[in-house]
Order: sequence, then structure tokens, then C-alpha cells
Amino acid sequence: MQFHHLAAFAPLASLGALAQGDAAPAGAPAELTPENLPALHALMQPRADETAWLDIPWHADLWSARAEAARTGKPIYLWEMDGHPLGCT
Amino acid sequence: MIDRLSTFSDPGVIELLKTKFVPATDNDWYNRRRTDAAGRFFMEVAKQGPRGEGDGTKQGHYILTASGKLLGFNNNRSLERRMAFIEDALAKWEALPAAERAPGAVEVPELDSRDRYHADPPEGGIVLVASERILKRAAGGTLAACGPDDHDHGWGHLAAVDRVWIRKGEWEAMLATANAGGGDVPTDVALRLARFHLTDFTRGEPPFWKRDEVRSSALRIEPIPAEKGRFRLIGKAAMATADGVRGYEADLLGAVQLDTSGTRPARFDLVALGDHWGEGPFTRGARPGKTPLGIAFRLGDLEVAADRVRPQASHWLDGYYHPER
Repeated sequence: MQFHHLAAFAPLASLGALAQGDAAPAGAPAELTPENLPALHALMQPRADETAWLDIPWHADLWSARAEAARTGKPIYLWEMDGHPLGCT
Repeated sequence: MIDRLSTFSDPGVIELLKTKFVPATDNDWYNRRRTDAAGRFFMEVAKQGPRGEGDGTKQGHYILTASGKLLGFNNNRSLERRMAFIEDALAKWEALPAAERAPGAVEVPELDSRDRYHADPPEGGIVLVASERILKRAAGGTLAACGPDDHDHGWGHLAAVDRVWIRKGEWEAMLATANAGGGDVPTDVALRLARFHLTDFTRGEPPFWKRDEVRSSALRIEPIPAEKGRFRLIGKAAMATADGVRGYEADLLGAVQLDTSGTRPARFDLVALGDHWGEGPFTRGARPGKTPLGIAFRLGDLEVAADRVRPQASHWLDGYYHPER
């Protein structure tokens, strides 16, 4: 997995479909080169089948959820973990 | 992690949470230590449930009112029990007096002070989202994402996510270096990535690398000839414990594109790719031997709540920002 010095660089436009939740490819070339960078970058992104839980409009902190709950007249569902549920847990 | 794919991927639960609740997440490690209004509010709620008072963990699932009344607590991953918990708490909510449930019945002030267990993303800095996967070597010299059959672990094959914080001055130094013809990124940035982000966090919070476990760490930023406002990132990093039972050796390659102001990144894409081996006390279940691990970094969006979540390694924020310490 050696990278190569870059005579040319992959067009950044080809990195355009890398946002979380996009369908990640099944595989990518193993060499970390400018040409392979978009495919390798996409390979590591969460796939749509891994991100259904993000359809829920989670607040990232209880206090901001509390403010919305007060404003809208709804109860709060709190998912509290050692390690943020939206992060590395 | 498993909740993401089970309970919270269930269409019925998703619909309930979207329509009947204000859904929230938070980090118990900080909340049970905070002494500001947010911390006190959480602890007042937690002590009404089975976690009670004291310093121990308060993690779990709570349903509560904006006034701080606990309507239910659950820490069981069974979908059936989770649904029963939600429906029971919803019934308790609906049994409350209408005046107590009405919009505006509770006033929630802005937090006027926050203690040291709260941190916002660095002002003027940049936030990167790190997505990581264990990989396997496949036919034709390719790498493929692992599936559940490739790994004897419930969810270790899934993509894992964390965030990286880079301070304003660090970004400005990177930009100045690139505009001056290229050179090393600030040591704090390269070492922060190596110690705290080039880790295997696919099975939860990993042991972060100690300073002397980083055998080498280099990351350069260079202009791309004839491509104004575009830079490449090239680097290598090698980390290993003293006894050699855990390590990661990775190449890094990336691309940065500036926005129209020429001072801020419009894109920041970086990949670390290499072989990892070993596991930590809280991340048991690693694949045996050296196996491929890839980490992709992209620019975060501070308008997205999740992208404001602090890096897992930032419990000691000053140490996170100054990884030489």
C-alpha cells in the first residue's frame, strides 16, 4: 500500500459523492494513489444501510433538545452513552 | 453501536421518534461531571431512575419532560422491550395535565456559562469527519469492505465515525505553508492525527497512542502545480506499543480545495490506509494478525448537529490540542 508521488492529481470533482450516507462501493484498488483516492475515500464512508438511524433528527446535546421540547410541547427521548452516540462509541 | 442497526433502524421507532418526541443524544462521560445548568438538569433527571445519584455511569435511554420529570428509563436492546418502554412513557406523557404539556409551558434559558466538561468546535478552525472500516484483500488486488461473515464480532465490520478538530491558527499555518511552496503541516496536527485518529475505533473507544508509541509521523501539504487553490496532502505514520502487540502503519494521501475566498477549505479529503494489528481492553475481538484498516477524513459541516460532537480523544482538551504533552 505504498503511495506514489504525484505527477498528476485526481480531479476533486470526482470526490463529489463522498458525503455520509451515500452508497459506498463494494471495493477499491488497494494502492493509495491520486487516481484511486476517490474510490478509497468512498469505500470508508458509512453506507445507506448503516445510516437509517440518522433519519432521526437527533440533537447532539440534551440542553438544546430541552429548549425544543419546551417550545414544541413534546417529551424528550434521550440516548445517553459513555462516548457520544453520534460519535466514536 | 448495535442500537444504531437494531432499534433505531426500525421504521416504527424512527417514525415515533420523529413525530412524538424531541430526540436527543449526549455523552454521559461529560454530563455526569458537568456542574453547570445542563449538567445539573441531567443529574436531576437521572437520579429519578435506576441509575440514581453518585459518580457511576448514567448511560441508558431516558424519556423526560422539558421540566425534568422522568417518564421512563430503559437500557435493554430488545426491540420489543424498547417499544414497550416508549409506549409506556408516551402514555405517562399524555396523562400529564394539558397545561404542563403545552408549548411554552416551560422556559428554558440560554446556557450562560459552561464548565470545563463542555467544549465547542474551535472558533475559526475546521472540523473533519473521520470514517473508518476494516477491509479485506479481494480479487484482482483490490480492497473490499468487510461484512458480518468476515469478522467474528457483532458490528466491527461497520463504518465507525469520529471527528477531528483543527484550530484556526493551525489551518492558517497549513495554508501559508502550502502557498509558500509546501512543507510539513504543524507538528500538533500531524501528531494529533497519529495519536488520536489513526486508531482502530471500529469496535468502540480504542486506547489512544501514547506519545512514545508514535514511531514516526509525517504529513506534508503541497500546492498542485498549475491548479490554483488546490493542495495535496502526503504522509506516513507508524504507531506501535512497546511490546509490539498493537500497531498501525499507514500511508496518507489527500486533497484540499479552497473556497472562493481563498482562505477556507471547500473540500478536505484525506485517506489513511495500512495494516493494523492488535486490540485494546475495551475493543476486544480484533481480527488476528495484520489486516487492512482504512480511515477517510472529510470536511464536517457545523450546521449538522452530529458534526459538532467533540472528538472522542478530547476528554483532556488541552492534551488533545497539544499532543506532544
